[in-house]
Amino acid sequence: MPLRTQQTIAPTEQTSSAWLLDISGGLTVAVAAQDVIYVYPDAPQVFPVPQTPDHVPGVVNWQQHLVPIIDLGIYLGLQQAESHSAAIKMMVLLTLGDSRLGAMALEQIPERAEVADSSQCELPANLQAWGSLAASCFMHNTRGAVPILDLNAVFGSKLSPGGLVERVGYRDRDNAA
Amino acid sequence: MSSQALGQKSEQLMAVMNFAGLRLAVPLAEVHSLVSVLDLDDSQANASVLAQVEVNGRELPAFGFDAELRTLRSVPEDYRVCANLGAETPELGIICQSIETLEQSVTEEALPACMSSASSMLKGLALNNDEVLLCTNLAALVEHISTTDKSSAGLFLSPREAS
Repeated sequence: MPLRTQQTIAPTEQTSSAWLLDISGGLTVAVAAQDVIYVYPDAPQVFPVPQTPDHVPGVVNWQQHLVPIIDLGIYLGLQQAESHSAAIKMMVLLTLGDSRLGAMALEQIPERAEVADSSQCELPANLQAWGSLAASCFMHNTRGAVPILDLNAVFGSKLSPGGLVERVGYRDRDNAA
Repeated sequence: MSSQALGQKSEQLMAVMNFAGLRLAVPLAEVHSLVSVLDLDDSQANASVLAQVEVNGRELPAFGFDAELRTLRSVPEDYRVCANLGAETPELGIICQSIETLEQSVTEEALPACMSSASSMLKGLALNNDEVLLCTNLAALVEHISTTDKSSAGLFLSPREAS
């Protein structure tokens, strides 16, 4: 499938290739280019698994391998989980290292970007809750600050049910106090 | 890519219990016996214990689940079988619509870390042809029931008693 490429920096500067992933809730995150191994042009069949966190809509069968799916929008409370497996529009298959795979629900086709070291930035205050999930962050010329995901954190055990949402909640309450 | 999408793997023969559209697999070696629901004693049923099943002279608690694996409070009319689980010494019965043995062994892969939750009875997933099987085992069932229904915790044998 054709994938758009976005040039974000001057051509003389050394860059790293990345994919911009639009998750639900209007947020954009990034992963290293080599982490994406397949983009599903249509949402594949999702097999729901009960008694799992709401942000895990189920698993997908990829070449006889069962791959867990994560929807960060639900994790962040930006989207309701009900009947979500049928509402997934697009998905990307990611390699997590050690031959492990993960899939992430997306809102639209990923966009390629070249990221320069000079574009690295701090996580803005409104994204501080991403700290445990983001390896770093860079400033994109049109999308603003984009967290670069630590996929092992995202697909590890850190995303306990409500974990990040609760932490955000506590942070907001603390700030309010 | 020779990928290991999930985690640790183990290959074994499985039996699959049906719960209103959901299929839950347990190791065949842990299925001790089967009993018709007509032979169960529901005179002492309580919150989550749907009935008592007599196995080898002992009364065991019997439980059931719906399609979301929530513990049932009554036995649906189409739940007809009680599978008594425990390799040598059965510990509990699981009431379901039906149970079948898979003809071939399946490879169970441990549930990925991102899918695990403290109270889940699910321990793994397996592919049976193109079907995704949800996998559990006796120990996970006992832990799940004991956790979600504190009143049931004392109903199970301790490891010493079971041996």
